[in-house]
Amino acid sequence: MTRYFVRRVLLLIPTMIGVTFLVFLLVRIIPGGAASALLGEGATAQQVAQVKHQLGLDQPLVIQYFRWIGSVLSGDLGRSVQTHNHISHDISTRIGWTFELGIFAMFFSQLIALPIGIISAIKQDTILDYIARSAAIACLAVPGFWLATLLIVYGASGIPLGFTTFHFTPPLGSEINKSLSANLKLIVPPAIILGIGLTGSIMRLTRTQMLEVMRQDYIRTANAKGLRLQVIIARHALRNAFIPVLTIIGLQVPVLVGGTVVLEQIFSLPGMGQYLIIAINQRDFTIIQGVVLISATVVLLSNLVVDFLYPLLDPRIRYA
Amino acid sequence: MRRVDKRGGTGNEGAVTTVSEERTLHGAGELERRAEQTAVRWGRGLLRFLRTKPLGTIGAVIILAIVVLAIFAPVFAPYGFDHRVLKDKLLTPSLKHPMGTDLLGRDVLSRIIYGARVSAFVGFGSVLISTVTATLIGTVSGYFGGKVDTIVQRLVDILLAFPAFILLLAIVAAFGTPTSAIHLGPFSFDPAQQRAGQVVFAIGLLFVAPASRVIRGAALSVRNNLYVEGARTVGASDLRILTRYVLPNVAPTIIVYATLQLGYAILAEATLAFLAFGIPDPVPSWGLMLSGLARARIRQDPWLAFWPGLAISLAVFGFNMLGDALRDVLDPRLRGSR
Repeated sequence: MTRYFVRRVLLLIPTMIGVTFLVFLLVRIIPGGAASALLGEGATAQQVAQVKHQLGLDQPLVIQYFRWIGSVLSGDLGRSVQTHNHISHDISTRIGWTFELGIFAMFFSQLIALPIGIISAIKQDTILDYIARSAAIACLAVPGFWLATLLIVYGASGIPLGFTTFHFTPPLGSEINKSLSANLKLIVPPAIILGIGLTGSIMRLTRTQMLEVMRQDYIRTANAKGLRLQVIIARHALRNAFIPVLTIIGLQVPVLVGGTVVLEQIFSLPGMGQYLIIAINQRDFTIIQGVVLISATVVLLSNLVVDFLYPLLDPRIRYA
Repeated sequence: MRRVDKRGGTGNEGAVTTVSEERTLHGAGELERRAEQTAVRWGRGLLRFLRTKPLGTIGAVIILAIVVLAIFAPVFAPYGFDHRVLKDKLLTPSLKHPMGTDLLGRDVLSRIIYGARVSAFVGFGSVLISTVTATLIGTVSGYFGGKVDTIVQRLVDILLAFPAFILLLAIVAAFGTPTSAIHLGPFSFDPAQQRAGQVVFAIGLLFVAPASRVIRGAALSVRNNLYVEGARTVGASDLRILTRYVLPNVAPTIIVYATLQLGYAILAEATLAFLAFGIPDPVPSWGLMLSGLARARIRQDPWLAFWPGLAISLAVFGFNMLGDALRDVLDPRLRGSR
């Protein structure tokens, strides 16, 4: 087992190198170069050359790459081309927001998807099942930014919920970081919307897995022992059905990270996504470079965690 | 599936007969009869699909509607997509403007109809790029296996490490915003057209890695079949095996995956447009109609926020429904994936 873990971690290294290489090249294929993109159209050749020199873009690519990698390894992602702030510092103040949004979104997606997936499987081919399955595809289809826009538009005038009216106004910049509960109020609505987007595939996989597991012999045995359905589901079925579901949750981390960009933008949350959008609008290529690198690293690490959790959840899995 | 049985059969004899050889074995009349049979079989298959897959049929109808609207937009749209009547701005839905008008007094229904063109163009364009490239990479990687496969799959790993949407934003940012028209021989492309090309290319590029992984998996399972071994035994070249045996058998997987990707491509374009990185106004992209300036005015006329979102949802819903149904019919192996 230890050998598997070690090998798995070692395999991460070439992938990571590839990732840094791609990120590095990506911001250097900008037509006309980052320097002229930065200066705009009216720049003279001399100005471009000067900016290039300042940014070290006049060096050979290999040297640029190793310089960049060297500072990345020491935790320095460089400075913003526009504001000259340290990118590592900017990201460290922002990543918490994105992380929080992502974790809550994941939590809400499980909270919605797992029960519905289980019910859908137990009540297979009933009207309940059909509704749940259509709802799952609807969750995949409805764009989060639309839900968010509707929430902001209708939330301002109040959404009647029968017993109460739900009011929602998107936060202003000044309200941010006042207190934990204030922050939670800001995070929860976008997290639910982001979560809904992930719900569809988790719900569907939970359903198929539950159907599969419920046909197994050990479930029949448990049933024959006279265990109650709830106990069978909780103790026997769910634990086995959840293993593939864990994979898809792992696979959704990239979707989640991408989704935070959009929702942070709509709800004005000062996270990494908003940072990326600002950077793109200002053609700040060092920030783009840093954010893309960090997000890819997060994805790779989350894949690693999923692979490590596998054998813990399922003792049947043995890695040679 | 039927194709597999017919070609692969149980013995070697089926493996080596191909269409061109059949042509010499049977006369032209025989071929016509076969074509007719195939047509009848397809017809029956279609009827069965309509009967057993109601949700898939709904999806197909939605997609058909979008494609028809996109092609015949000028016929269906009551006004032009940039026909401005400023005194009629921000009207609520009425008989004259069934979906109301926007900030510039443009008919929203017409813009939604023309918007189908943008979605269809970006969707089909990008998925064409991704499918062709991914098929090439996936079948070669899966069929040859060994070192080729290892190298290709490690490269795919690298691409899959990036959150798709962030990579998409970065690619679009790297392209930069086109500001002036470019001329290529007799053609000239205005900035909006260049942007459309960039978006199609970026989304297509992004979809290559996941699609190639799925197609590789299918090719991997095909290559161990007896009929492939049979073909190799009688001396068929790799190219021949790839095109005559592997490709037809991974085709169902490709079709299903491409259908699902079409939905995501439309969603990706809409999201880009929403963030104002897509094709600029006045081209009516559904995502753009929900963004920026439109959003600021939406409070005055909430309908403005409703229609474009509904259009995007329906389109993505349609492709997902159809893709799911096709998956059940064509490729049971993919069930539960995604």
